[in-house]
Amino acid sequence: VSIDARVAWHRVSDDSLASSTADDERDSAVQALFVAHYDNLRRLAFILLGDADAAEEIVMDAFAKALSRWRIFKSVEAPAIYMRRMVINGCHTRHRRRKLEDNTLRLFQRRSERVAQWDADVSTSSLALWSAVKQLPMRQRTCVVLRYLDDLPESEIAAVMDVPLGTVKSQLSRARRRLAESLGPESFGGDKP
Amino acid sequence: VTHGDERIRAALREIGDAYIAARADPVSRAATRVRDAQRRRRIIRFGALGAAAALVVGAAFVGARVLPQREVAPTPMERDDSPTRDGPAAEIPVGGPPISLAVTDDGSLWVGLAEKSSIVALDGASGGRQSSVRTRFPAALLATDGRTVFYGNPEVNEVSQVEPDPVTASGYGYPATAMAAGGGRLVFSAGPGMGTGCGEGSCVHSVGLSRSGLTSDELVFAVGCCPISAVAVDDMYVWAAGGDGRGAGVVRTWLDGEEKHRVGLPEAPTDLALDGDTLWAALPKAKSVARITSIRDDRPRVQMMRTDVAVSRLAVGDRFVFGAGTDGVVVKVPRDGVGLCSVVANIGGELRDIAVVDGFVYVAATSRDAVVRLDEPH
Repeated sequence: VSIDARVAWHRVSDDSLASSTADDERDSAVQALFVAHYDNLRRLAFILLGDADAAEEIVMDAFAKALSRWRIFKSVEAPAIYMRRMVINGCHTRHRRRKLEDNTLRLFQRRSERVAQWDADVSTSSLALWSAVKQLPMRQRTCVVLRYLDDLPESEIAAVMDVPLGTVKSQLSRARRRLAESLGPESFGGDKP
Repeated sequence: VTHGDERIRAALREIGDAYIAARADPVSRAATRVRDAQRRRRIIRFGALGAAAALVVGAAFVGARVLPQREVAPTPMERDDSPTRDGPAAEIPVGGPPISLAVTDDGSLWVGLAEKSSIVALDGASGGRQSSVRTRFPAALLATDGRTVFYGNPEVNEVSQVEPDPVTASGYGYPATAMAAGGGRLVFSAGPGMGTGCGEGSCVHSVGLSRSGLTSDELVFAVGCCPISAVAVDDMYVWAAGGDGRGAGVVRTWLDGEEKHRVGLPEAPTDLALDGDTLWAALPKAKSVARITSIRDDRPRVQMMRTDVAVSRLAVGDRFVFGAGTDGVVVKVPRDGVGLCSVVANIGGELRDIAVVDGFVYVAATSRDAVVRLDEPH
């Protein structure tokens, strides 16, 4: 018949003030993050996927998530690492979906209509190496890109990928070996002491 | 660092930098993409809400067609010996559909009429008609500080005051949607659409009262209820009830509008009734009334009391709080919150207001063009 509840008067003025301050804080924090990391993140996504439009979409999705989940995001200790992780997860999801699409196309004997979206003037040797990097499994590829493109130490790569340090070391080692195998010791240059 | 490492680094950077250079102007594209992403999410969310709403409406429609209907039939009021009613009822014709009631300290019951610019005064003890006072517009809202009667109308941009003789009036430029008097002030809410900088219907207008009524001492402050559905006032606080889809409740503030505190309720109350340290709130959609105790403390207690009928107006009696609403039923709710709510009388039609005077419960029965009087149960 009746439900009892002990409640507290909720300060309206303070809360509305806090909410407007929180909005300002959110906008300026995400804006600063955008200015500082947008180019690096989309470059990372592009190197991983090789798809310019998808790279930008994934990075912008990550920023949109940061805005919409600000309550969670603001408590993150290292926002840059968190953003990288979101972008990498987005790339992995896109990669999985693309593999599925490719398999489906192959199954029904249809040709992919995917067209080149980027045609920059870069050296053929760099394109050959990038092509070899794109042949790596996604995990090894991510380690390589974070290590060489973003210059992250192995410990930070482990934090971004949320894996143990040993995994990063072994993945990097395997990736280097596979790259040397696919490009040839001459082209890859071999290890110098 | 090996030569191979340097080679990978140089190649990836060359490609990455070329990509960034080839696709400059990220900011405008970025802004568009953020907007697109947010729009997509909004569409998905509203789509889901729309689907849920359609499902609920469909289920309600099917339920209404399939399930047997429960009818609340009005009962005759001249002699009603039904066991639910505690005392005999009488009908007092007032010359039109009554819509608002107020009780002054001298025991008079003031009745506002829906279609006529006049207020009828009744003797609360006998129910006899005392006088009729012409007003500037139909008094949809009535409030009194015990001495002077004030009236307003949600369609008229002023509040005015009534005295038996002469009638004086004072306009304030805002249509009142809820009104109350007490603590030396008349408080009322701004109607929707009146630009006051506080948002639609979210402002409380507070006017100082003297022995002769309204003064020029006027305060306007926002309370954050959008829009305000009911107000109450005593000599310390103003309580404003309201809410919309974002949340409903009661906001307590000092008489000058400082220090606003809010307590949440399941819907915007349609009426508030002060009862010492307790505030009663009518919640017709929930078919309940909320009994909010310790209202001047930091931690009030909210007790939801189920009435099983829609109660939109409240009046405090000796042992019970009485409620009336669109179901045409008068209910009594124990003031101490102990025990059940029960039906006092089934009058039928829409009951627009309720008041308690000298041991009688008066109800504005719009469909009967009369005020119905019941014995206050003991």
